[in-house]
Amino acid sequence: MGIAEVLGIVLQLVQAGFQLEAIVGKAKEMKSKGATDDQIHTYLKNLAAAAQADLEKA
Amino acid sequence: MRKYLSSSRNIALAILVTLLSACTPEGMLVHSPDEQAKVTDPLVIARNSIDQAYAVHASITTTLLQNYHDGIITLEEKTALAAKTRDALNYLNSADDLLAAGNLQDANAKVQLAQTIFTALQLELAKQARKEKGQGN
Repeated sequence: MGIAEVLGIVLQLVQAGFQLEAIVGKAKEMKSKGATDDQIHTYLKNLAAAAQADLEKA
Repeated sequence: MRKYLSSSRNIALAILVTLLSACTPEGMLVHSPDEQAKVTDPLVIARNSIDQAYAVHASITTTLLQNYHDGIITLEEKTALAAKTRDALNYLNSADDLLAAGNLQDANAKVQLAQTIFTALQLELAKQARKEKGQGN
């Protein structure tokens, strides 16, 4: 496995990482604004369901 | 026909992806390490794991959708991968229901099943990165 391949993998993981960072950032923002753990849980659950639906219908 | 990785390369990739995924920065945790350290209730810890897994599911699924729109994966590949993310989501929803019913052990087992799928999907994302690079050359 060459360095270019390793870099490609790292870049892909970074891309996925940016997505995760944005999602977690939103959850933390909700919490800082007073959202309860239940509300954050519901947000993440609905977000996952919506992302799944988008992938399936595309 | 596209060439996929040899088994030895798959193993090397799996190790690399696992190592990289294990290094989750604190900023990507839904509940900070400080918060988690204060939590001793196993039900709350399990709930936090499910929350984190929902976030990981959404990030992987969104990345797969982006890769499909970018032409990195075909419709058939996207459909097959969507079935895997669906399985993972079903495990997480089951875990959530089990936890609500107080069944901690089975809930954690379901989360583990979802995480196994996520590891495989991260390997798939790594393969897609190789394909993307190949298309660029």
